[in-house]
Order: sequence, then structure tokens, then C-alpha cells
Amino acid sequence: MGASLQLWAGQVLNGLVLGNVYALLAAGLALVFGVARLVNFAHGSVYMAGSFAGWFLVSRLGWPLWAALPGAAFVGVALGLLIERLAVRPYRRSGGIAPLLATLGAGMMLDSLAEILFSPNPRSFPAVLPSTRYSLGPVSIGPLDLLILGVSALSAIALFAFLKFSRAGRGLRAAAQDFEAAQQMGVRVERVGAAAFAIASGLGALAGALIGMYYNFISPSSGFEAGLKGFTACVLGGLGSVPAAMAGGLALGLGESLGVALLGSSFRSLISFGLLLAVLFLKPEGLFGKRGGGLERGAAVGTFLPLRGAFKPPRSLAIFLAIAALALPLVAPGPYLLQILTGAWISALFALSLSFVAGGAGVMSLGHAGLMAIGAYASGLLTLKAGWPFLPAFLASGLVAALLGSLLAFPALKLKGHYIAIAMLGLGEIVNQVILNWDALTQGAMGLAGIPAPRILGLAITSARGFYYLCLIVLLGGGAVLAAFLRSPLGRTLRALREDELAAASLGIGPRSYKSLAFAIGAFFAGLAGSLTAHLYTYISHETFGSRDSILGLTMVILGGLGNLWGAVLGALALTALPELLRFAAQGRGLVFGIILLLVLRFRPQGLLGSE
Amino acid sequence: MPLLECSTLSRSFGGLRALSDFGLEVGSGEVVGIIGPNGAGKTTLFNLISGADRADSGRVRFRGEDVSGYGLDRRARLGLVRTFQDGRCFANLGVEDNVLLGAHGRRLASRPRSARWAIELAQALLPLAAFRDEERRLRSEAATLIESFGERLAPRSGEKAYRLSYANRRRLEIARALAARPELLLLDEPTAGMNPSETLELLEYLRGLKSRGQAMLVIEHKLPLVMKLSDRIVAMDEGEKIAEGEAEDIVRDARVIEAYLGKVHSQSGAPAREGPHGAGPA
Repeated sequence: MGASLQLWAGQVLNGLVLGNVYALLAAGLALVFGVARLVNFAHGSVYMAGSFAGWFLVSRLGWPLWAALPGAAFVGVALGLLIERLAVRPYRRSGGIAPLLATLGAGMMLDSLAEILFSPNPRSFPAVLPSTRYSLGPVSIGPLDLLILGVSALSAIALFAFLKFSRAGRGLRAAAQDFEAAQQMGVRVERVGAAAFAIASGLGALAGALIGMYYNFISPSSGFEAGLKGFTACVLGGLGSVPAAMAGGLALGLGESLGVALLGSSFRSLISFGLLLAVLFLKPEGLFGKRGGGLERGAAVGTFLPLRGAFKPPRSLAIFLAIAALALPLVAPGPYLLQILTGAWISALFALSLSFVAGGAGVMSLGHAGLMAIGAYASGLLTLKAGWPFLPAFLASGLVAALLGSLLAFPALKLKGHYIAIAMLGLGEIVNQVILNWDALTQGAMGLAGIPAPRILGLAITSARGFYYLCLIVLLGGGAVLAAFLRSPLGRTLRALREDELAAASLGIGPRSYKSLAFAIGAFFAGLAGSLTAHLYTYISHETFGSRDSILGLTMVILGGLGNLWGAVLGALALTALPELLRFAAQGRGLVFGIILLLVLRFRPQGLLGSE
Repeated sequence: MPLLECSTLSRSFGGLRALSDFGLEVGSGEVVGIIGPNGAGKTTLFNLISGADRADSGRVRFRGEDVSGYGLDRRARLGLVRTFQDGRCFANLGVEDNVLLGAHGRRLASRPRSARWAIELAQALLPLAAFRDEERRLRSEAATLIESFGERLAPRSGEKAYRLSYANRRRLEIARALAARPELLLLDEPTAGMNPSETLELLEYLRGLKSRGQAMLVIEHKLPLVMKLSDRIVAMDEGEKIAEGEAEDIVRDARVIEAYLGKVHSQSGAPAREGPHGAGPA
């Protein structure tokens, strides 16, 4: 009894400590959302940068803790100002979802930069505090716990005092209430926006440094999950209110710790993302937020990006390109080019599917790689464990992805604007977390090895040429089917939904059923792409199809032109085959892709081939 | 049995009562006009009737069916079709496509409920004569509707909606709603942003619809238009019905005059009106 009480009290303390850090993370997101009506998808990457800044200052420069923590926060402030200036302010007038995508690009650049500077490998944070524990009744508390509790409480008090009493804080609150009115009353809103980013990023970086010390672990790829935890805390409390978001952070920390005590630590992420989706679906205004009276929630509804000048190649050119691609293996010098293009065709199929969902129906599917994972596992498990032949397993992988994907997404599809983007991001992550934790089915962290080569009509496909043809033919078929959908009355209905959901509903178009249908169609082809990947690589794991692939797919689609199927293929070729052929270093790619995304959004938002 | 029957509808936003205990009936083939100053609750009423918003209390019955719990799309499929005050066309779609989308509910209605999604997919992939015929028939209906607006809309049939003038977008929205063959057409300020001659043209168009038996519920600021179009007028102020009757009676009604003129006085700087409704908005 005593031991179990101690255990639970310890978990509550853990939860409080974590919760305080999540609160810092969430406060920054809420602050930015309040002022700029923008979900800052680069926030997690600033957190990651903060953890590296803290580590660098302590272990490389030998700074004492009292200097290193403010130092990390300062790095965050600088990054926040930079992000605001380069990835937010220029996109203010673009409207729609462009600013959100721009912060995604900025985050991708930061992550990649950290990999270049510090290598992609995780590092341990040197112990800077003694590991003594003090007993307080049933609770044993260490100096690090006290430090985190103290620093986060102090930061929260400082933040509230700043917002409440300072002139700049008053401007911030005014801009959060009504941006234009504040502007007219002489508040310098651009400065206010920059200040919000600076403060938010300072807090985020501080949170990163504290968590790095707490877990004794930092990694360049930690930003995505941290960002998602921050969104979870925000949504839990209520998006747009700093105190509510901080309360949400505490609730998340406690919920996570108690959940881990019950289920085990590998469930940590699953618990928090499950919580995220549960709140989004059941009570999107948050536990402490008020139900909005408006008809539309969130700012980013309707067309994301300007649609103009879609380039449609004439039939003759299309046929010529298809024949050229089919004839290429006959003249290709060796397997290398074919292998690269095979990967590009799979990426292109994935991009087509995403372009159809995001461009055709206006559903911002930010976790699209999760659908690929479902397809890959379906195909892998059916051939490995159930002994199915390739072709039925291949088709089943598409169907399973369509069914599971649309079932998972169905509750999210009633959400709007930023909420749907966050929910979709969470969905992609949840798929991988379920794969990781469902040992009995998926072999958990071990992954699936030895997936057999495809066998069609008794012929095993093992050569580079064979895979090239398989993937190209699936791509051509998928492209033809999706193009037919876009041309049909269904495509018209989906475009109407994308343009104006309320007006579409007023004509009898059920928004959720049609979005689900579009999502299922997209998921089918993403599932096929996953299956091809599984049989090509013969090994898959919960890390094969991650958030990076989702964002990379999105970059391809936007580069080529949202909703433009030819554009999706072009984008995939440009971002997968081209860097390989130019032998561009793998580590720097995120940086280049981020820059491409920002430049395209800024100077050619309709993409290279135009969007429709 | 009336076509539309609203009883004791109420809706508040925060502490503000936008509509209280509102009742309204519209019969088959009847045209009812709704007038009232800004903030009287007209658009709130429209949102509750069309299903764009839900009432805090009260019922909406349409063709005898209680539709209070139905969303916008389901009510539209039953024949309750609305337009919007701000002319919500699908900007990046062509004029013809906009009108074709109006027929969506009718396309669905002709199909078995359980197989609708499969038929949507099949229509895209299979070159069946039935699908082609349906599409051809709908296109010719859409062309007729577009041509019914004469020189205004017909020459722009191939253009994208965002290229249309404001007045043309309003016309397109009405054409789109008519493509649904609504039992009851809800028009939210159909002539907002139109100049006098355009307004007059639209009045004639709507009277044409009326003569063919189209039931309509029309919100309109322009009193002469409402008076010429409506069988019956409902006057609203501050979320309540203040008068109901034929046009001649309404314009002579003391409370209607007060609601309109009282507003004029307070706007021109004269002392705020007094009376049962309290001071007018500043």
C-alpha cells in the first residue's frame, strides 16, 4: 500500500514537472495564435533548438546553469524573430493556409540545420545538478524537479505581469482581441506580432532546454513530437487563451504520467495524441474554453492558395511522356537511374493522392504518410503472415488504408481550419504509435523484415527493371483514375466543397460524407504507394513513414501546383530523383526543401504548373 | 398544411437575444417578405430555417416534417434552399458548373441511398449511357436557367465566377438555387449591391417565378420591392415579430413606422426614440 502510494505520488510529481514544461510550450503557441491567428508549426523546432542551445552552452562552453538557461531562451528569442520576419510576415497577406505552410517550411529548415550542425544522432545532456533526492511525505523530489517547477512558475508569472502591466503587453492583448482595431488605435501590430513570436519562442526554447535536462536526451528530430504535444496542450485547454493553454499543459503532463503508470512508458505518445484527438472530436473548444457562437471556426477555410493558370499538357504530350517513361529501361545505362526513378514513381503516387485530397477536396491532410504506413503494413502482414499472393495483398493494402484512414479521419472532418490541420498531423503520428505498441500484430519496434518480392502471374519481380515497370504502371493507372475523378461530377462536387463548404451544404452536398469519400480515395492510392514501398525495401517499421514524409509530400504537391496531378508528379521528380542524381547530401535536403517551400509560397503560390 | 412552419424559435449569442419566440408560416406558392432594420434578427431567422445555425429552442417544420435537428445539406435536399447575403458563388468554378452544382440534391435523390457513393465513383470511371444522359440533361437545364437571366448572364456562361460583377454573382446564386427546384426558396437580400435598374430587373424575374407558383421567403431592405413581390409581409425588430399582414397594412402600422423612422431619427442626431422597445441603437 505504502509503495503504491509512493508510486502514484511520484507519478503525480512527474506529471506536474512535465506539465509545467508543456505549459511553457503551450503558452507560446497560444500567444502566437492569439495575436496572429496562426498555428506556428515551427514551434516544436524552436524547442528542439533550445535543447541544443542549452546543451551546447553547458557542455561545450562550460556555462553554469544560471547563465545557460537564459542563454537558451535568448537563442529562442532570436529564432522567433527570424521566423516571424522570414516565414510569417511576408505571408500575412497571402491569406488561407499559406502562413501555416510557411511555418512548416521554417520548422523543416531548422530541423535540418540542427542535423547538419550536430549530426542526426541523439545526444545525452550532461548532469549539471546533483542527483540527491529530498523526501516530502510520500514524494521524493530532486533538485532538477525543483528547478523546472521554479523556472516555469517564474516564467509564467513574468509572462502574466508583462501582458497585464506593460505597454507592449497591452498592445499584444489588444491585437489578440481585434487585430485591425488595434492597428487603427495606433498599436504597431507588426512589432506586436514580432514580440509575440519572440516571447513565445523564448519560452519554447526554455522548455526544450529543461526537458533535455529532465530526460537527459536531446535529438534534432525531437521538435515534431514536442510541437504536437504543445498543440495538444493548447487544444486541451482551449486554443487562443494563454492561461487556458497553460492549464491544458498541466492537464496533459498529469494525464500522460498517470497513463504511463497504468500502461507503460512506450504508450506515452499514444496517450497524449489520443487525448488530442479525443478533445478535438468531443470538445474542440477545449476543456476550459467557451463554445464559439460563430458558424465557422478557425480562419483557414476555403481555398488555400490562389488558383490560376493550371497547365494541362495536351494529350499528345501526355502520351509521349508516358511512352518515354516506359521506354527508358531499354536505353538506361544501368540499374542506378531506374532505382532512383522507381523511388520517384512511388513518391509521385503518394503526391498524387495528397494532391487529390488537399487540392481536389480541400482537406489538409498533414499526416498523409500514416496512410502509407497502413498500406505497407497491410500488404506486409498479408503476404508474410497470412501467406497471401502479392496482387490480392496489394489491392487489399489500398482498401485497408481507405477504410481505416477514412474511419480515423471521419471525426476530424467535421473540424475546420487550423483544427483539421492539427488533427490530421496527430492522425499520422497515431498510426505510427499504434504500430509501435501493437506488438502482437506488427512486431512493434522490431518492424517487419523479409517482406517477399512481388510475384505476378508466377513471375517474381526482383530486378531494378521489374520494379521500375511495376511502380510506373501503378502510377500511370492511379493518375488516370484520379484524373477521371477530378473531371467527373464527383470532382465538381469536391471542388465546390473546397471553395465554400457552407454554400455547398446549402445545395444539399453533405460536407462530411464527400470529404470522407475524397479522403478514402486518396488513402487508397497512398496505401498502394505504401505497399509498393514495403515490397521494394522488404523491411518496414514504425519509422519508415513519418511526419517528414508527410511534409515532404506536401512540399512536392505545392511545388507542382495544388490539385494539379501533373504538378504532383513533377514535384515528386524534382524533390526525390533530382537530389539523388545531383548526389546532394542527404542531411542538407530538409534545409533546401524548406527554402523551396518558402520561395514557392512567396513567389509562385500556385506552383510550377499552376493549381486548379 | 403550411409548407414551412416555425414555432417559438429563439437564439441568443452570448447575452444578446437575436431572436425570441418567433413564429412564422409560409404556404405553398406563397411569397412572404421579411423586413426590419439592421440587427432585427432577419439573417438569424434565415440561418435557423435553413439549418446553417441551430435554435436554442423552438421547432422548424417543413412539409410537415420536423427538420429542427437536420443540417443545412439535409434540409436543402428536402427542398429548402437558400441564398446568402454576401453572394457565395464558387469563385474558382465556371458559371455553368456553379449552376450544375445546384442540381446536386436532385442527382442524389434519383439514386438508392445505400449505393450513392458507389454510383459517384462509377460515374467517374464507367462510360455508361445513363450517366452521360443525366449529365447532358442537367447541362441543358443549367443552360436554360442561365439564359433566363438574358444578356446579363448568358454571354458569361463559360467564365469563372470570380470574374463576374457583384450583381451577376447574385444572379448566379439565384440560378444555382433554382437548379435545385426548391419547394421553398429563401432569398437573403437578393438585390443588395444592385443599382435601381438592376433591382427592377430582378423584381420582374422574381415576379415571374412567383407567377409559376414558386414559394419564396425574401429578406429585403428595399421596401418598394418587398411590397410589389410579397403576398404577405412580416416586420421584425429586435428579434421579435412586430407586425404581419398585407403590404398596405404594414406600411401604415405604427410600430413598423417607429422601428424604421425611429432609427432614422437617432441616426440623424435627434433624440433617441422612446417607447416599448427602449432607445434605438446609437
